Amino acid sequence: MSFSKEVLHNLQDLYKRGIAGDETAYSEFLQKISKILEQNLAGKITNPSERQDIIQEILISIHKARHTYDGERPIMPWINAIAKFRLTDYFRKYYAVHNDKMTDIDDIYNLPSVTNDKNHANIIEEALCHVGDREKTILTLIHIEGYSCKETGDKLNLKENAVKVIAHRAIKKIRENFKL
Amino acid sequence: MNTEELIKKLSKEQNKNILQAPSYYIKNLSILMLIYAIFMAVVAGVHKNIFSYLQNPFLIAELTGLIFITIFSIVGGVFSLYPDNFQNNSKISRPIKSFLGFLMIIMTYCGYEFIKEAEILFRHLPSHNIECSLSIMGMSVLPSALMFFIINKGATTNSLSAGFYSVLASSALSGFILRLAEADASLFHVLIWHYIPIFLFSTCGAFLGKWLLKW
Repeated sequence: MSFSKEVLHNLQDLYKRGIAGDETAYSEFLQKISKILEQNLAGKITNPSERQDIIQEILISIHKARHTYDGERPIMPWINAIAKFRLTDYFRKYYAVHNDKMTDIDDIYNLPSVTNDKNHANIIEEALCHVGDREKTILTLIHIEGYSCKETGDKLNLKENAVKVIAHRAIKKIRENFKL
Repeated sequence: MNTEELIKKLSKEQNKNILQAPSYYIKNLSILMLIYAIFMAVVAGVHKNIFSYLQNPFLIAELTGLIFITIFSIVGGVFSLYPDNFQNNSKISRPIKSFLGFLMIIMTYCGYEFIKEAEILFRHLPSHNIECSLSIMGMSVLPSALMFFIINKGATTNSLSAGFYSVLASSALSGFILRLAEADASLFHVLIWHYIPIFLFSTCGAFLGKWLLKW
């Protein structure tokens, strides 16, 4: 992200005044930094609460390291270095936790069947009411009974591509009806 | 706590004294290391015929290389004090490049001498071996501790390299002092028992840095 000279100069000025003892200037400096970080991290961390956590960690680190910046050299490389340092730590911990979680093979087979539950069956039935008989048959064969498009085509005497097109259009119609 | 509350809390905290520019720390560390080197050279002693050995240009080049490595490592360590390396990233990579270059030159020279006449390499092999490595390790404890202390005052984002350079600076200096005492030792001996251990100690320093230089 690039910033205009005025913005950078303003940040540096707020920082210098903050370090000199101006609480308001320092608070404004941290608020501007948190907004910049929010914009930068929006694409990298999609979970808002995790994003806020990492932003707070970066602000705390900037505060802890405030004595290492004299306000003379460019400010953004200093901030970026600290932000990158904490972000790397965060991703290291995140992937250490998530990569270590293993799913027991029994859990895969113990998943509740969505079609056995009456409520789920009703929702699916209602969705299929919005499409014609041929579409209903194709969707049932593919998505409920597990036939491939080719096998469905063979059953209904249709070409594979035709089955795909019909299925795609039917799902689109259902989505529009459910406003998905 | 939300971000607004955190900002209010941080704004109320007292300000710390700003760190000096890198030149201040480099100058003071260099002076302290020099004083230490003179003291250790007096304690360890130098070779009785040191002046005649100093006529050998290869020994001069070796000693000069060690001094440069010490200086580059002090500079690299000091720049690591700052999260952005004081916006001078080249100074951070210089010590490791110079040390690896130094090792390669020594190894190439050893290889060349081995091909030419292996006997030269093994001439003047001292009776002691591991004692040299332990001496270097012992002599480098105090300067390494000093560098760790200085770097801990900052906020390094390169704790591995900061730790590596702290130990490299002090080990290279200790290697220099020991080389003055063993000016007649063969290159093969110093490569195996001085310089490779220096690299290994520095690698340990890197892991120590990762642990001690957290903030």
